[in-house]
Amino acid sequence: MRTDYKIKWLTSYDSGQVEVVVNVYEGDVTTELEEDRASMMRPVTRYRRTRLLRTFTLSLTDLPLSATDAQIRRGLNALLAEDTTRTPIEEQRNGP
Amino acid sequence: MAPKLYYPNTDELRAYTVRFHQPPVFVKEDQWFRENQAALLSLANTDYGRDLLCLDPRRKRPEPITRLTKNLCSYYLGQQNGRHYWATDGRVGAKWGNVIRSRWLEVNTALEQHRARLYLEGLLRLPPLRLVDGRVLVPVGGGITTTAYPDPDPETATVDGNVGRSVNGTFTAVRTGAGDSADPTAASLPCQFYTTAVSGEYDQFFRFISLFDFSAIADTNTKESATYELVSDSTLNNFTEPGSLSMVTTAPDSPTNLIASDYGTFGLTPTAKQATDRLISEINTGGSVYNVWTMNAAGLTSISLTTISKFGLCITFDYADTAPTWAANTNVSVGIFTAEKAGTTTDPKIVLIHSALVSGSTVLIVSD
Repeated sequence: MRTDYKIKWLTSYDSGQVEVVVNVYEGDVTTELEEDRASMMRPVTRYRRTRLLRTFTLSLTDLPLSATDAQIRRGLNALLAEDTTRTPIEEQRNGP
Repeated sequence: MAPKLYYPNTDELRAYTVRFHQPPVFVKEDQWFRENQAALLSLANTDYGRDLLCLDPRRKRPEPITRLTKNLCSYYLGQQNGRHYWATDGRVGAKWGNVIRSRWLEVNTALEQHRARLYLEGLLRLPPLRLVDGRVLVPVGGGITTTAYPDPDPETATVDGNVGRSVNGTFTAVRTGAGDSADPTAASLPCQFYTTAVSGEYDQFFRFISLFDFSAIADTNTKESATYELVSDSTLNNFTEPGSLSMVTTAPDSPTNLIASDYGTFGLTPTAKQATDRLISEINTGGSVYNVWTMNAAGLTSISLTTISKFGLCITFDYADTAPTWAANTNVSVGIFTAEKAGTTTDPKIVLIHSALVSGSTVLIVSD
């Protein structure tokens, strides 16, 4: 079973504070028929979510002015990795 | 000694001055700057405040100051191509912390006046200041940036996807006919239409819908500006006329699902246009770069701070009811990554700059 997150919304204040609301999902890589641009049905293998596991809000303070979305995502990737029963999708795994 | 959250008040400072051997008062500077940011910025955007805080005078730095910390000062440079730009003067040492510490009595008196002024402005609910060209002045309280994304499937509050009609017919017949398909679950979907091999016949009209939830923002906030952004993986326009993509209003039946009849809810009138059209030839199709639409006044109005905000995209020929020159088996198409796609770096989004009312009308203070 896989897991991933989606940022629902993200608010940045000039003071450096950032609030992020995140949805965490459960899903798996499956192959299903999908309609292509010419309205033809063809099998597509990709990650598909099956249910919303939880929603949480993170409030990050004292971020440097240069804090980037990438830094925030790296932090969220680390949180996702704490789930020992599910594997994070490739796109949301931190490198070594 | 317990840590203090604030600089010493006047009495404490005088007492400290008299008693030389008292240990220094420990101040949490970062927190103090955060909690006093609105009043500090209000002060920093006056001639007196810039002199008092050892900031560049306005004749040298006319841009409004939008952030001040113990060692950083940010100036708002303006907006270009839908992006906001700031310049930041950063110091290794806590320059402004030290300045405020050494001029504490004067700074504290000035801050009290500006706190009172901001409070009164909040009570009076003054509208935001506008320049003669209609642009809203950046609030001294600092612009707040909120980015919202549609939910992927399974949706909880918002949805994105496309709706279409795939019945061969004249341009007007397909455009105005009832929708017969909806897809809220694919990871990439097109805005498009085709011609068939039969002279004068069109087919496969698809329009894109994306909904956003900004209801977490207090509805007393002032909306300053917004951009609608999406990532594309393909474009095509084989017609002789240049094609473009229009951002319009839409009103799908449900905020969390799309149905075929949503095809008929697109705003296809001039007042429904939410942003300037973008030429398809100018849309980046690298699959990772956001294409930006700067939303107009109507678009900004359509962003709701109390309910779900609903927007649509369609080919401009479709929006304007202007058929391009017919040629057999010709198409115009823009492929759009939806929120369904894995990861969070290609989802459609709206980036809204807004400000809390209490710190709304502030650059006015620079006139003193």
